[in-house]
Amino acid sequence: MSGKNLTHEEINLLLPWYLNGTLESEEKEAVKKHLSGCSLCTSEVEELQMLRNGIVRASERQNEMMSVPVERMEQNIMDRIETFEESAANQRSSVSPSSSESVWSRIQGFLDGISMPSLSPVAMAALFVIQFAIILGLAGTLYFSEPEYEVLSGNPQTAEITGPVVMISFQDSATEKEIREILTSIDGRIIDGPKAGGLYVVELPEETANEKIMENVIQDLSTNTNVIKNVFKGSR
Amino acid sequence: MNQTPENKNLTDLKLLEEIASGDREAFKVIYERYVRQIFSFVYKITKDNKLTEEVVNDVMFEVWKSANSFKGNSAVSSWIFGIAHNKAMNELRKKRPEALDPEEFSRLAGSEDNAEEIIVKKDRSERMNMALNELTPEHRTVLELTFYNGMSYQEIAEIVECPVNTVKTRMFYAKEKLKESLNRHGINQEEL
Repeated sequence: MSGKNLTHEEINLLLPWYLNGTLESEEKEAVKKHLSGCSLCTSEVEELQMLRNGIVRASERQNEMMSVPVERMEQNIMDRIETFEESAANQRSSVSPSSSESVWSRIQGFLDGISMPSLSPVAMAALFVIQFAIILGLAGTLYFSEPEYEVLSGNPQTAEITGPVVMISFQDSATEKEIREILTSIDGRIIDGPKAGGLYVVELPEETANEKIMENVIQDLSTNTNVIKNVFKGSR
Repeated sequence: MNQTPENKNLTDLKLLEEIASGDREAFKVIYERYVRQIFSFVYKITKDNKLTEEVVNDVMFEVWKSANSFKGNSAVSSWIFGIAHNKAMNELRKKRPEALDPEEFSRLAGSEDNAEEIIVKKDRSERMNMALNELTPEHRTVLELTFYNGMSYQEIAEIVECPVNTVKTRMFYAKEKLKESLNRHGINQEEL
C-alpha cells in the first residue's frame, strides 16, 4: 500500500498519532514513507517520544499518589441508582390505568369533549381572512423591526494588535460554545468586530507569524464549515 | 447476571446492553473497569479530589441512565470519556470561569510561590506534572488522551466534541506550550 498523498504539514500534524499507533493504515504508510526522507519530521518524532515518555511517567506517578476511594464511591453510586430506580418504579405504579391508552386516543378524547358550533361558509371565510391578516402583521413586524442580537466580542472595540491576525466570519447557526472551542484551539482572541460582512478580527499567538503555520491554521479553520463561514489572513 | 469471572470478560458493548436492561452486576463490572481511568482523567481537569469524586459519580450515573441510548457509533470507552469530559468541563466553568481564558489559566497555574525552589526538590515526573498543570484543560486533555490513554484523533474529537482538524491543531499548540513550560522550569526534554 503506497499510502495517502499528504503534504509535509499534514504529515507533521499526524505524528503524535503515528507515535501512539492509532493511525489508519493509509495514513500510517504515508507517514512512514515521508519520515524516510524528512529529517525535520524524524527529529519531531524523537522529540514527541520524549514528551510522551514524560507524560506517561507523570500520569503513572500521579495515579500512584492518588488514592481513589473506589469502594466508597461504588457504594454511593449503587445507593443513587437504588433511589433512582425506586422512585421510577413508584412513578410507574402511581400512573392511572387510563394513561395506558395511546396518545392519539387521548387527543381524540380531548377533541371529542370540545363542543364546536357548526359554522356557515361565510363565517369560515371571515375566519380565514382574519388569520391571514394576523400572519401578515407578524411577518411585517419581524422583517422591518430592528434585529435583537449580541456579539461575542461585546461592544465594538479596537484593541492594540501585537500578534498576527486572521479575519473570521461565523455561520449564523454556529453556537457560542462551538466558536469558543475554535478560538481556544487556535489560542485566538477576538480583538475587534463585527465589521462589514460579520467579520471578526482574531489575534493569534506570535508563533503563527510563521507563513507555513499561518497557512496551516487558515486551512484547518476553513475546513470547519459548520462553524466558520469565511477565514483569511488579516493585516495589522 | 452475577459478577462472575466470565462476566468480567464480556465486551464493553455487551455489558452496556445488559446495563440497559437493568442489570446492576453488569454495571459494577463496567464501573470497576473504568472508575480509575475516569477518576484520573477528571482529576487532571479539575485538580480537585472532592469535585472529581462528585463528577465521577455523575458520570457513572449517566452511564446507568443512558446505556439504552448508546447508539454504538463510537467505542464505549470514547462515549464514557466523552461524558466525563463534558461534566468535568462544566464543573470547571462553574467553579472557576477564568479557566476559559487560556492566558489567565496559565498565569494562575504558574503563580505558585517559590516554584523554582520546589522544582529542584521534585523528581522528574513531578516536575513534568507541574509543567502539565500549567496548560489549559483543553491542551492537557488532548496530550493525555493521545499519549497516556492512547486514543486516535477521531476518538478524541468525539470525546471533546470538536472537529478532527481542531484536535490536530490543538495538539500542535499543546505540545508547543508544553515545551515552553518545560523550558521555563529549566527542564531538559532529554531528561524526561
